[in-house]
Amino acid sequence: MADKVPSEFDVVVIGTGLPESIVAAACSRSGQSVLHVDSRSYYGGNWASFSFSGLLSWIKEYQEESDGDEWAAWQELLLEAEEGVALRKKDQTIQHVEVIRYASQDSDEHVEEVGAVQKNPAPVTSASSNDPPDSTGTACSDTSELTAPLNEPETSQEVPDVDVTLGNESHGGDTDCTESPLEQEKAENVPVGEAVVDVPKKNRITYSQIVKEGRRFNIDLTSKLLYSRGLLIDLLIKSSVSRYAEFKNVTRILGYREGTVLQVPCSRADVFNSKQLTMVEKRMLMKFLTFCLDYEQQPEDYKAYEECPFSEYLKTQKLTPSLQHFVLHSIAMTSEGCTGTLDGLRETQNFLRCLGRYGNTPFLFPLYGQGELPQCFCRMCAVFGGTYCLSHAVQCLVVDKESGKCKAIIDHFGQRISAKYFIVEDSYLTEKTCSDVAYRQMSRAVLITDRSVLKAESDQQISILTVPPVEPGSAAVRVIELCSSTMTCMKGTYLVHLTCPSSKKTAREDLESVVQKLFTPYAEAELENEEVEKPNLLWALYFNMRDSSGINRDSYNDLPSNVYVCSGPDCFLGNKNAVQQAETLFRHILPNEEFCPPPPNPEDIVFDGDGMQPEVPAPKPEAAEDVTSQGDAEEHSEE
Amino acid sequence: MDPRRKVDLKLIIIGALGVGKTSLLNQYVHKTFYEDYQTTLGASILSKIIMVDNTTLKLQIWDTGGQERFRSMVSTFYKGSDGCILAFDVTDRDSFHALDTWRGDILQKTVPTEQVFPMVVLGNKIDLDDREVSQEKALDWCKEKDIPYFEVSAKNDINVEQAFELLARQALSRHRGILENYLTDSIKLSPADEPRNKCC
Repeated sequence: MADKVPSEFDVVVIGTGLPESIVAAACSRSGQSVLHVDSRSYYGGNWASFSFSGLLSWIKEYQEESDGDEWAAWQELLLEAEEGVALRKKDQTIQHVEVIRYASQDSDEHVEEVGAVQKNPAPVTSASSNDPPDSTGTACSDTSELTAPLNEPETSQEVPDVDVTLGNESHGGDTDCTESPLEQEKAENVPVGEAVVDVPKKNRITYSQIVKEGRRFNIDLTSKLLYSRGLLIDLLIKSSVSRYAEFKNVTRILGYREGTVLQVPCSRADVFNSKQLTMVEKRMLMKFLTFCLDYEQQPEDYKAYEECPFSEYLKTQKLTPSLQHFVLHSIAMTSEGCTGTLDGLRETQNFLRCLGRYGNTPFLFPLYGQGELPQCFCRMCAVFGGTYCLSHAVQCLVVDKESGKCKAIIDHFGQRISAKYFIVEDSYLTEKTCSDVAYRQMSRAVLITDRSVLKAESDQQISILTVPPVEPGSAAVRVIELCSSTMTCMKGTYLVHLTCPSSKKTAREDLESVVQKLFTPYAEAELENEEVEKPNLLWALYFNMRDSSGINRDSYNDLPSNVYVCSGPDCFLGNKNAVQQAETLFRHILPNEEFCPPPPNPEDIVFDGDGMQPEVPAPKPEAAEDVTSQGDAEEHSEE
Repeated sequence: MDPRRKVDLKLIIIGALGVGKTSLLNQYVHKTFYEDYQTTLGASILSKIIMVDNTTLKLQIWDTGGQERFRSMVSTFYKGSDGCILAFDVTDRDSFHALDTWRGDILQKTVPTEQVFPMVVLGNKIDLDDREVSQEKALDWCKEKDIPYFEVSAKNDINVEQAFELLARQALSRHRGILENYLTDSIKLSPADEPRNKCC
């Protein structure tokens, strides 16, 4: 296993998020030798997804004190005619991490993920044996009770019996203890003696169960969907990277109006079948949507409103207020004042054109979560010869003083690796390099709940809900609710992602009011009757993530011309930004090469270096995907 | 069992660099063998359709793509897999010792179910003389872990088919017991995709 990383490549890529993974794949595919590294032990960076225990480790990492941001020894490794551009040691793109656990634990016994590979045979006793039994999401404890061992990354985490964990917002590490108003009021009413009950109440998911089934969770840090006619889908299909993933249809488009969650009909069939719309409304909506599908053909209909907000234009379109609301928020997915008519029409048209390609909504979701996508491109890169090293940090870029170009990197072992082109994801750059960059922030929440926000015949729904801004000036909140058949959460639960551009300081401040509108904290539900309307909230995570998208390369200080920067995730629903970035970057580096063409006929095995080459027949015109209609048992092979 | 009903199974092959994983796949699927060791480019998933107990199985066998070199496998590789081939080279002691780690990885990255995760161990390159791992030693390790062991040669096509078929059988049996598999009907994108109806 002690293989040494080669010291020369054509391209070095630092970071395994989506844009840079696409570039890596494209470069490798066109014959470049690629070294692709990530300082983490996992793929994806801020695009990653985690099991439940993996997420707890991730949370802990951001709550720990930073042990210095600078690498030390690399300056000594530089030669006379060289200077260095340092890279970051510790990531700082995540802030204000807060966890609230509402669901109770079954008992005091220590809880562990099923299937954990035990390194010590002796069971570790819970640190919580002295905790009072009625710990149901109210108490705030100091962080010293966290005992999850991090020195054994191969084993699962022992779950601490703490209810509220607060992240430190600065190096000062304040343990600011706050409770949401809802919890405070009900604290006294929480029933005592939870621990006495051995069997959880019927249908009640407990925290212990979540931990035990932790591997069934695949929790994305970045919440997005794929447009059925979109850049990413097109790229996946074209390059055949789609073979590495499977997808589910998003089944429902939901809207939120006057305190109620409703299904928004958008396809012709939906509209006709809707029980909520009157006949008149159905005609109005169909007429408007039909117009939108080819709106450019009738410019006289909207020309007068080009300078107006889309919401104003909609008022003139013979639509009831509720229809206007749904077009604005759930179809065009824009907000009251800020989007112009042309943009609104274009977004609506895009939405409509995506209907029906795979299902009733415009969207697909990857099985196992969004975190699969960067990995699929990494696999493609590897398959065409790319070298992969996780847990491999880079100390600095080595720049030739005379030419001003970057010639090598020095990794955390002090090894020098040279290359012609360097692609670095934004989060690896130091404050010094980014001092002139004004970053935006995204607010995120991840919730585990026990029922859908909108009851339906089948409980296996994948839904997108846009909650309009609560106050003028704040942002709309995008909510994506995933059922267990997406393989992102355990049976009987839903995984709910909330995203919005940050307006207040913390994600919790931005999102909690929406969470409270839609869900009932678990503890409270005990008191009400079983017919509670809102789903129960079992566990919540809030965090802010840096939005480094759309930054002009010139904003970064002192970057050599052959060093390119990829941004982290953006706030938009689709993945257009990642693909466009990757393609633009690729065309800079390799202007004469095709971007991710289909692989050659899979039956041709191409060998690296000298050695016997099998006969390579000409590639077939399309990468023929396997076909299900072959009923005979005859052995055949294809990819 | 209706033979027209196809069950899709995903199998993965893991083990140290150079033990012959790709050769084993090529022997099983293509009935070919190339003498010189080279890193394979471009081929990463091989498919084979076989009949087991009157059921048609479509095996999708994932090669590592070379990412095992620095132990940087994408977790995508493990997701949804129904069984695993653990391979080592009988002339390379280190590759045998590495089995512990590879097996640990698999157990860590798959979701435990009632039935144990199907695995087979293949001791490859038995056609060579300079053996470093005895059959007995390998058998002991496998007995202890309760994993079937096969001594194989990708070059001479010895025992390869038997090993894969046993694994397929085990994988099928476990797959049938998992309820979720019936819920996860998913969309596999392909270039042949054409829009259904264009509905507004």
